[in-house]
Amino acid sequence: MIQTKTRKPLRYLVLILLAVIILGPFILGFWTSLLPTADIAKGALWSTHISFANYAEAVKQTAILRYLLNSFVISTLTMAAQLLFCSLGAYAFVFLKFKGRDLLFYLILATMMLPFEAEVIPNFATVRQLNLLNHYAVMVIPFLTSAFGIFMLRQAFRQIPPELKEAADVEGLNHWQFYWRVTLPYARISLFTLAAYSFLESWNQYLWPMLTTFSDKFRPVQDGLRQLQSQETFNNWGMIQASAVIVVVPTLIVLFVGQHYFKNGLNEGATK
Amino acid sequence: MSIELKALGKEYTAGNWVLEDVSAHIESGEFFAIVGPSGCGKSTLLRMIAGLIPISAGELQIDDQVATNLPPKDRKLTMVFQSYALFPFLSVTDNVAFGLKARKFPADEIKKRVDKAIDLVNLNEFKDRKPRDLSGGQRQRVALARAIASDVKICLMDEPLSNLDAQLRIKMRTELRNLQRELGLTVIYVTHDQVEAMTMADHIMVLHNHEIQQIGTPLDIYNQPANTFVASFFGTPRMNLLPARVEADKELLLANTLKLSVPEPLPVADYVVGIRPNALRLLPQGAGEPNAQVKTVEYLGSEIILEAELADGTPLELVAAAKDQYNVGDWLSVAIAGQAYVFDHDGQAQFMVEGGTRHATGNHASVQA
Repeated sequence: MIQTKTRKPLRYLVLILLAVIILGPFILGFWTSLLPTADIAKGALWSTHISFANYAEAVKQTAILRYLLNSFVISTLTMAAQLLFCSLGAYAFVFLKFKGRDLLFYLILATMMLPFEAEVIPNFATVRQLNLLNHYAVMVIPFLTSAFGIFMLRQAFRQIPPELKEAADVEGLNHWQFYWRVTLPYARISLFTLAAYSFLESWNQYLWPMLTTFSDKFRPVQDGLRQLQSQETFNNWGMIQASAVIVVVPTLIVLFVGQHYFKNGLNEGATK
Repeated sequence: MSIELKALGKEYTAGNWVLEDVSAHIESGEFFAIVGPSGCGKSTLLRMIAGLIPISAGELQIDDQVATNLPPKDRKLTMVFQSYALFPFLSVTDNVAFGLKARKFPADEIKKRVDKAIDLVNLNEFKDRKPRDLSGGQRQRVALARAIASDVKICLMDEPLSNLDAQLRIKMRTELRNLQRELGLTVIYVTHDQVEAMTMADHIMVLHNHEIQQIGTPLDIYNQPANTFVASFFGTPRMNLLPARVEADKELLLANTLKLSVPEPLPVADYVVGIRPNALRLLPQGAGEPNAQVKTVEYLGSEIILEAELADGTPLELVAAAKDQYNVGDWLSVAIAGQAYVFDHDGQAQFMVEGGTRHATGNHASVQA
């Protein structure tokens, strides 16, 4: 009993410490976004000149809304494509039997070992040949599917009791029907997870859009932010912080909405 | 909707037959049980009939149509799984309607059938629940309702009751049987539980060692077992199988202890004689020479099961009246007082002796059944 009594505060102490370390920069960033740049430059963080002026300025003076729209379009398309193609791929690896199935799957897994940076040059050459540079397509097409997504959904589909497939066979469902009416609903938690993951992944892309977009018309947020910094001769830090907060908000929304679905036990009762 | 199995066989790898030469005729409206110990291939056979596992040899006919290579959906049957196989993301109603929707029935027809099926299995209050909010027995009923909502008349059941507790299982047995009669379903029912098969089935197929041991009515199987496997598989407590040899003309000596007279002379060979515990009689104390020693005593309330050992160490199960008192280590005097089944040394049935009854060591204590 004594042990647990002393342990509990200790545990909370560690948790609080970690929370401060992790949340600190966020809070600091948010706080500075409310301060005038002059105060930030002076290092007067305890300033009382709090306002949303930076936000208004960011929206008025920069293309931040355009960046948001670009990122939103790119991330949504990428997410939708990954959900579709990864689930179809995973379905084939679980429910179809064909020669070389496992070999093919391991090949796909092996591509996960390749860092994206290593693919940049061949990919760039390809998209240039295809005349896709500086367009939404260039940021969506290379990411239509992902080895990780296929791997993750394959694991999820393998959890489906074989009796469900047998029951569906007896009822006469073809593969498309089984895919749509049983596999997807059964693995919906994994699908939500993958959706959130691929959306955020796409949202946070930096290197690839930097190489392939040249105008604000198609530039996504992360590169847009960087652009703000270099454009200004005098760095307006308050405004940049405000933009950064604007950019982070959608990712937080995705995480909060996603969290609602990430709960266990939804598939209980299929089989005993 | 009769079903004909003609020399069905299944091999997963060449030459490695898990089922061989399975032939049977299942009448329309019949409750047909396939029984055997685990691993005997009974679920495999059911899945072959359903079309979920390809048939390696032989021919399957459903309703006089060759169905050997038909896809499952064209075989016009439904299936109830041991694990229920419910769709966890669908409500009870949608689970029951699942097959009908897949087969594109009109909506009002689906509603009618689903309502009726749910009503038949008494799940009206639970229509909108998800499987995870149901008890095991209720999930089982949903699986049943899904099968009976369909218009097809053949239902395959793979140990549907084995996940239920004992009380519920006994209740569901009766319900299932009544439902089958009411709807005129042809049911093929796989179970490892001989009691379930005995109480529910019109005909029983006993599978063991990759092949059919016997097909018959429950009574046939109990009263005329084709071999020692069937004999010991059916009936609780189990039939005693005693090694026997020819002792004299028209007489067998069982386990060097009990004598059994037979109607005609037997060729000299090794035999096995099967005697059910209720065909053995315990003689009153002093009425015969003791020949068996009590090893364990189980009180069942209405009777007592005794596990004993004959003088030469052969185990023997006996039933005794509940009022009597037995202790471990007691010596008993046992005599044959009912049917004895004589099998050859390969375990194949030869003939049955009605009430063969002589006490080997004490010929003064002969009892007629």
